[in-house]
Amino acid sequence: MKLKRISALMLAAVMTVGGATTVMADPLNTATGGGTTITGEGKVDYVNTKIYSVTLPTTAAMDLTIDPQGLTGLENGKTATLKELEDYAGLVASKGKALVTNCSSVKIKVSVELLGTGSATFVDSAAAVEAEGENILLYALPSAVDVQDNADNYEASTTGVLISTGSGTTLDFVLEPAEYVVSKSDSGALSYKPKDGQKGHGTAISFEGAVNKDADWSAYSGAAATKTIGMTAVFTYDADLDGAVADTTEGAPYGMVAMGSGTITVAAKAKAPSIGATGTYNKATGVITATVNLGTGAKATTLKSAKYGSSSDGATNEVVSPKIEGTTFTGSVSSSVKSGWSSKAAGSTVYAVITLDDGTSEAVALTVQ
Amino acid sequence: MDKPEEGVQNVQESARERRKTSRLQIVLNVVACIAALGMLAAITVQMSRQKEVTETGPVTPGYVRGTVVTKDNVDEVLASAGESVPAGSYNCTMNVEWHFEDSGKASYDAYVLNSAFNTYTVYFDVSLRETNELVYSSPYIPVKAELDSIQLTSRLDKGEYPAIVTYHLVDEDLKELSTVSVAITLFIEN
Repeated sequence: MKLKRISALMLAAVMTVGGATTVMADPLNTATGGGTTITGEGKVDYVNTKIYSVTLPTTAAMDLTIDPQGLTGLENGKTATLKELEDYAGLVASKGKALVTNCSSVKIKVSVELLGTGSATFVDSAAAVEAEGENILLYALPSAVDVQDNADNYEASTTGVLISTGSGTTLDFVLEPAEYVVSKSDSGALSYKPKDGQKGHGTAISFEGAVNKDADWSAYSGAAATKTIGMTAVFTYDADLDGAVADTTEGAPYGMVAMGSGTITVAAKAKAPSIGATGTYNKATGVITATVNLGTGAKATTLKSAKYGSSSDGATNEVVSPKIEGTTFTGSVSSSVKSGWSSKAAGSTVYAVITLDDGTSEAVALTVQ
Repeated sequence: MDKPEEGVQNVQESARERRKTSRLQIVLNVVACIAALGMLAAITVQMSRQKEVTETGPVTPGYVRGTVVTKDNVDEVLASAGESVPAGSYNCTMNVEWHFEDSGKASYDAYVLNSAFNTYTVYFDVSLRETNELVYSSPYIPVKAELDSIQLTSRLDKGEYPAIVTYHLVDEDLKELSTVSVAITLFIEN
């Protein structure tokens, strides 16, 4: 029994990013792939106990705001036009993004069981929301990209997973492991710990939807509320993937296992423009390369200017023939600068200041190649 | 001569014995008082924790509340809209299959760590999925602390029980901030 407890502690240290590293001072004979099988010199026994490290969202991140009248269109202490209120009327949104990150050293399947609760009627289409009654359309909108450790990196996919009452809905995600490294001390002891800067892989989920603007929702609010509306979220995780495979088709939510039914297509959200902080300068060709995202939808913009120089402050020369294809920015320096910079050492840095029409600007550090 | 001396001796011994008994009694009384105070403190903490749960926490594991915006609460909703969500995530470091030789003994492999990733102290409840019966409630677990001697508070027959662990994140004043629920399985072997 004692041995089993010790083993459990060891596994916890193995599986935890930045966790109880002191435990790792104990010598290990072997630490095999995934870290779920460890044997030691008699004092640490193998036991079939798998301990995972998974970051999960709490209810605080998922709490729902339901706005039948569009009152959130008002800014504090200000007025709003009827049109502005109408734009917000009927919207449902979660307070934050529900972050799910696998910090373990093995690939795992994380499932979340979602079940609509309360007195309202959960429907499955925007049209059904408008029918008479206290109707709500509520869906989970997972990220299209690997979010890792910060929900701020969330990018909405276009797959909304409907939340219903009855037996509820289960979303399955297959999440890649965090990277771990094995090192050997002078005494020959092996330790197994997360690679520097490793933060795991995961997703984030936003909860959105709509309610019937014309229904009377007064019974759901205030101290004297007699009705409730909400959902439950229970998480499960295991290294036994049970055949689950993440859907890797373009646009699919990151890590999510495809669902045969129970989803709706959500209009792509406008994406803000962005400029990568680093790029390259090829001294043989004189070409500058950087990453520039021009945004989408209402937030789409265009290139305003691109200048270069030896320092970010000195970037005053216009880039020759600048263009953006996809998210790749290219342009050249003048032939005289190209000649002058030909003596620059590989790995040194020059700069390009790229500015977009919406005001987004970045001094891009270009590594000389 | 012998008798009176014997009698004096007996009285002296008896007095010594009484003093010993009396000292022992005092020690026992002090121990009893300390134990009683300890129990009282434990009960108070437990009761205050349950009070917190009753006042602010949902009964259903994983319950996410929906707030309907009205003119009475719109300012509050708007004020919190731009803020980051405190206690919005929790790093669960634990195993999800807990084995017990029998339900009267502590599990030999259940393990829970409040990892260094986390910010808040937690406690957790374990309830059976089918009946919602509460079968364990942990003490408070500070960040970096672990718990591995978990003994159920309910008797369960031999079998496999799907259960839910609901972590409650609390602030410095032990006020509940949020919860997260994770499914586990309890195995009662005898």
